[in-house]
Amino acid sequence: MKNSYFPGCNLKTEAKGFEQSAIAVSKELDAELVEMPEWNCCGTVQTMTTDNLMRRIAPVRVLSRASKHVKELEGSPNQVTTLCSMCNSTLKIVNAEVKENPNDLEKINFQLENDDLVYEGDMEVKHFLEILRDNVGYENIAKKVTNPLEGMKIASYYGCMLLHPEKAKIDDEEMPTVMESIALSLGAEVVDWPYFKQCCGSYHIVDRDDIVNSQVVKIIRNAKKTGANALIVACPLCAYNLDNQQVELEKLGVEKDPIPIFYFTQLMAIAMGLPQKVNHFEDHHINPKTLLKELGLLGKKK
Amino acid sequence: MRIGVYVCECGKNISATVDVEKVVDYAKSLPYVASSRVYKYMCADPGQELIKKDIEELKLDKVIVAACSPRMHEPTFRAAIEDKGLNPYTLEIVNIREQVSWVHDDKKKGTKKAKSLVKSSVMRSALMEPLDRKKVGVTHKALVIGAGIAGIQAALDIAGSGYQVTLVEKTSSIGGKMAQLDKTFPTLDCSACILSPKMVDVGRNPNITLIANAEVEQVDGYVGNFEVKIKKKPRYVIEDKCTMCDDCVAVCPVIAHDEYNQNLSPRKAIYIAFPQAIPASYIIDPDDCLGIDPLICSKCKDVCGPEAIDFDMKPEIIEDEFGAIVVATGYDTYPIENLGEYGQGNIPDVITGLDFERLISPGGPSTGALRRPSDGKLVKNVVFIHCAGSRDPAKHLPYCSKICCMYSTKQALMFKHEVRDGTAVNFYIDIRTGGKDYEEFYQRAAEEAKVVYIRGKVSELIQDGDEILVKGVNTLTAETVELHADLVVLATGIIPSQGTKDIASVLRLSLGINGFIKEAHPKLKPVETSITGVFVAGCATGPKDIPETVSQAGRAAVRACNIIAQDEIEVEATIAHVDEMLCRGCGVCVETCPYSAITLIDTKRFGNTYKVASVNEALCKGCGSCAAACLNGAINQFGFEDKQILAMIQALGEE
Repeated sequence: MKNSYFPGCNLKTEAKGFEQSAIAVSKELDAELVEMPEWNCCGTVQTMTTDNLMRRIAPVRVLSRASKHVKELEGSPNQVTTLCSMCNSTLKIVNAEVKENPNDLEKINFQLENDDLVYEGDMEVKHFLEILRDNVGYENIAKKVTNPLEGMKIASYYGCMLLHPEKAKIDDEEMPTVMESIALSLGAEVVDWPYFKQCCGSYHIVDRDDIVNSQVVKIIRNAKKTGANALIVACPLCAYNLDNQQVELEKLGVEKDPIPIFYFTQLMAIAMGLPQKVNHFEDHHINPKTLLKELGLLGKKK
Repeated sequence: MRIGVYVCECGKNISATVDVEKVVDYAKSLPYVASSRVYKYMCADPGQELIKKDIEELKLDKVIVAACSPRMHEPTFRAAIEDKGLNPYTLEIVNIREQVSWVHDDKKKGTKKAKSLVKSSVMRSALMEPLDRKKVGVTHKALVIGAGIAGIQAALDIAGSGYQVTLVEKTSSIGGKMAQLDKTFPTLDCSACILSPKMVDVGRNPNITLIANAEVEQVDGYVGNFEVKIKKKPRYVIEDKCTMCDDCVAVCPVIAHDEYNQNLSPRKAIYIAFPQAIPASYIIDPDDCLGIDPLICSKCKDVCGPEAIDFDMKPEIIEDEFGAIVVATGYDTYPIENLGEYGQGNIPDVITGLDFERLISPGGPSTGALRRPSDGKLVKNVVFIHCAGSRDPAKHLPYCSKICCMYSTKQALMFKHEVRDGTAVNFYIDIRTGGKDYEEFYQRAAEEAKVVYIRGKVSELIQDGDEILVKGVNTLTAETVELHADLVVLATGIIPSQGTKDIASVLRLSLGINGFIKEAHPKLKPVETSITGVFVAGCATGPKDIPETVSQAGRAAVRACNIIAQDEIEVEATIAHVDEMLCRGCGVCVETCPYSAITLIDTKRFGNTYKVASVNEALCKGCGSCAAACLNGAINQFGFEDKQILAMIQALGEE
């Protein structure tokens, strides 16, 4: 099966390891992510902060182009897959809104005429986690594991965007299980911890890193308290805040012994024995290789 | 044929949006109409007199009243015309209030609609025939289902009027939820101390037959003559022989959860629910016991001096007849497992209000010293969260559970009395103190006992080391609040009990949108149900406090006595009847009938035997479902014959 894949900005810059590991893993699991052509910004926070229909044009353009793309892919369902939680949330909410309000869709489509595009409201938006859970299945992930993640104690960090709001959530907002189930099928241990959806501080990193620091320290301390030695995330912004600010906190003398932050797909790539270069660990602020070496998980091939 | 049409102004209720004079003039122009008048309040005595006088002077055969819903005053006007020798079933009511004036604001359109409705009713009235009222005998005995405080009170009140009453309880003892409470608001008197005298009275009263550990399986029949099957589960201990010596408990090797203590303490497989339990006898839980089948252990039987233990007891079906039934099946609390934001039951020190009652009770798992479930530590800081699952239409229950403000306040006060230097914090949406002395009680807690009240919801509970981190908001200061607690008590809302749902399906009672039993009228018939002769008391109809439950039980008892005190009672006259020549015995009506009033019987026709439908006149409620469903038009309903309905439709179509 091939899936039309919408990357979004971060996946090409800060989160190359997320994208490339995800694509590598998707090929292994026969759920290949194929990048859609001519994609643009999902619209991100700009889209959701006002009721202005102008702000919905960017995501609808993405949906209409993805709709074209799936017709070119053989046997692809009418869905576009995202990796970034924010893109997933924005596209899902806008998709639901225009489906509910055909008049709004008509107005937006009018604006898309210049691009010779029209969106019919025929697409579904999926996060890659949903594809893994619903289309691939945990057993099939487990079957591909050649390098079980023995010794890893993982705290799954969902952040806010994967579980809220109702229209965009990918799992139960109070007790999500998808990331834990994936970690378990990779042979890792998971911890039961309450901070799985505590806000990471989000865009405050731009001008108020003190707010982000206070969130990160709570999250990391709780993860350590429950015995976790790594966090997995599905959002480039969460990853940046949790990763970079741990280093900052260490510099400030607030918290020692940082724990590495992984995208869930990076751990999948390691467990499946895929080439190391897809993970782009050099982009991380806390070197994940230290832990992987300690546990003897590095450099194993399938 | 001489018909009188009487149009009511209902003060301004009708006349504001319906030109009543025009309706009267129009009625006069219709066929058969001999007289038409308007009056300010037709239901008042002068209004009724107007009708009576016309019947006499103008020799009317039929009367039409255009006023409010027939649910309000049909009996009033039926009695009025019967007084003057007319058959009460020749009365026709046109509802021009609820169906016209209250729902329209355009007087022109309202008047037009009222005219049309009057015309269609005249056409129907012309075809109406006098009907006979039927009477049935009555069994002078009542059944009360559920023996919490509502059932106990209803049974005592019926017995106190001198009638026999059978009280059926699902669990091993009567007492219900009230027996689990430590204290009651707003007086802080001990719950057991005020309940146990009533429980003892039930056990002693010669008019009350108590069947505990039993459930009502089946109810047939109708008002005055309900045939009931009760399944009594085996107790494995002979009630009369058990002396409550407690020797059996000491030797029983099985340890199980104690339901009375909210599973917070252990009990044995042979046990008594609580010391004051009625019937005063031990019971064996067959799911836990090793002696029932196969017999692995018989230690209790070996030590039982009075030989009260009988492993061979079997379930027993008790069949009996009753004139009236009171349903008092109570409530459950909203499951903590549904409250994801509060840990879904995975945080051991987040408990429910009922758990708290047991924890602080001297007879509870920690014999009164408030120790928390996780590690037995004495509690210093406790947070009460009101509306846990209530008033949350998006995720949980839409309604207010009514008692939680008061019980959380009570529990906070009890805590402060127990732990003088402790802190009790209440998070609330609104404090609702709608009961006698409730506001004073709340003031006392807040001002004298220094219980802290924070207006706002708690968004999240997080296990933080051995404490619980409570994250919420103070909506009066618009600040977020974070504090640590040793124990968090959720004021979980009230939901219909499983017993309420079960009995509603056995009796075919109508349920409201939230699953509680629906009253016949929310204000004026609060204990009556959709089935004549079946009454309801307590939390089976919705959240209630103890005083309200007790008063309601009293009314339910009186209403039950109203029926069982009579030798015979009238039943519905507008019932279904079958034209056997048209019936083809397909049985659609049998399936359609919600009251099981129709059966297929054999009939001989031209020397052959055919199946035809037959209506039990006592069971039929006259709902008309069968008449509508019958494919051959073989079933008609007295008072609502097809020809009458068609005449109405035709009249409306001519407009």
